[in-house]
Amino acid sequence: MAINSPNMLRTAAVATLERAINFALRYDPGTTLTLESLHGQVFAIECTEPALILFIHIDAPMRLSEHYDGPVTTRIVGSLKDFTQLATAEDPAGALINSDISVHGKSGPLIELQQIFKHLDVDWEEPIAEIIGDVPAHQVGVGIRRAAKFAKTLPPKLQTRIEKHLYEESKLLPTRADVDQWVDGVAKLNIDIERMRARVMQLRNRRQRGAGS
Amino acid sequence: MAEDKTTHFGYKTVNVEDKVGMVAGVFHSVAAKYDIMNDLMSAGIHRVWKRFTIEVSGVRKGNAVLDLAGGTGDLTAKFSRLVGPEGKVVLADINDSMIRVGRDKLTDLGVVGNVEYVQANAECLPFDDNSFDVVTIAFGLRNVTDKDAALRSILRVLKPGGRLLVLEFSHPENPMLQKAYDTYSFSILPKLGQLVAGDAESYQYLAESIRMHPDQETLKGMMQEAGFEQCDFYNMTGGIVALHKGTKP
Repeated sequence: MAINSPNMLRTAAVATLERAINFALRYDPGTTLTLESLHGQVFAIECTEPALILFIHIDAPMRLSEHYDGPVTTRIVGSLKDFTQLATAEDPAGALINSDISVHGKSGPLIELQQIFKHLDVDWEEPIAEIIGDVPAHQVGVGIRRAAKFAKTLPPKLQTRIEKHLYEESKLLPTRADVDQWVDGVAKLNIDIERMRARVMQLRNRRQRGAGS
Repeated sequence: MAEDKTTHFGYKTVNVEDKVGMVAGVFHSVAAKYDIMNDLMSAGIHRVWKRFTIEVSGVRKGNAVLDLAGGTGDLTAKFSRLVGPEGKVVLADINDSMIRVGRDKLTDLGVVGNVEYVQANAECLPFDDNSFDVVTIAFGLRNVTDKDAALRSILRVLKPGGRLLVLEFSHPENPMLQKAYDTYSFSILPKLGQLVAGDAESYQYLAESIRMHPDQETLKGMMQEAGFEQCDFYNMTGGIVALHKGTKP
């Protein structure tokens, strides 16, 4: 009977991911240099949902594997959701403590690795220049950098522009001041109605007492 | 007069002493187009099978690795990086044409320094006892005339605790897949060989030799018989290919 047969699609996907990481690292010499401090370390990421184990071997080039029976620097176990939150966290140490991820081994090198990859800054001009030449590649590079910068500022800018259009140009929505004024008006009207109701009740009671005497 | 011993060469029965020369003829013929044919025949999946083999091998820095029937050096290139300058990889093949293609390819890729090339018959390996941490034989064992002798020879050169990995075409588990695979092997494969390598016969032999190769359980038994322990196998792509592993006690 065969032992658990490997998933060839997953093996191929891991190979593709490994190639992509090494491609990116080739064009970010700063990160590659910083990674040297972690050379020889092996990190195991054990995902419970979906079930998957991935070993990250810090080397030049970096290696990913699904099988490894040697010593591991840090083993982290959690769900895909937990790992995504950790990978994107501004404060990885805090995220690690507050998450459901369990860490076995040293956590310091793991946090260092997360920080290094967070600051990955790939020089896209170089691979493009290898194909289309230096000058056009520079133009494309400038375009890519502008697009990336724009994409970073897009969410707050876009929100401001949509608000402006809805309030001032199309007048589809009231401004915050208009809404506050309206809410105050409603509150005042509510109080006035309550007072009037109390006054009416008072008058009715007085009339009933006058009729009884 | 003593009777001539026979063995199989694909579906043909041939004299034992003739088989080595006939297999050599096949690989002399396909050596130049070997890599491109592998990609075409397997739609590139052979790279994934080899990657899995490397992962299971557990090769580390400083190890000595024997890549038997190493052919054009796919595994050797990866092992060379893993063992580092303090380790050693020996690419051995019985066929000088394959070694020449492999050596040129690896040298062009800059894979030098820790790689040696040896022309050797797997049945009587020219290495000291207990020399290697890992021995791999990928898509080579089915071409060996005396597989039991080859397994014993590998056991001898492995260090105690060393690992053998046999990556080889095998027998699909699913009968439907077997049928589709037979159609592909005997109808399409020889035509592909004719078109790309100009040699339909060699690829007809390839298909036949796969069918004549022992199935997964039989090969596992042969490894145990040769003296390996912790023998087991992984089926890949539905059993079209199997990876057997065993450890020298």
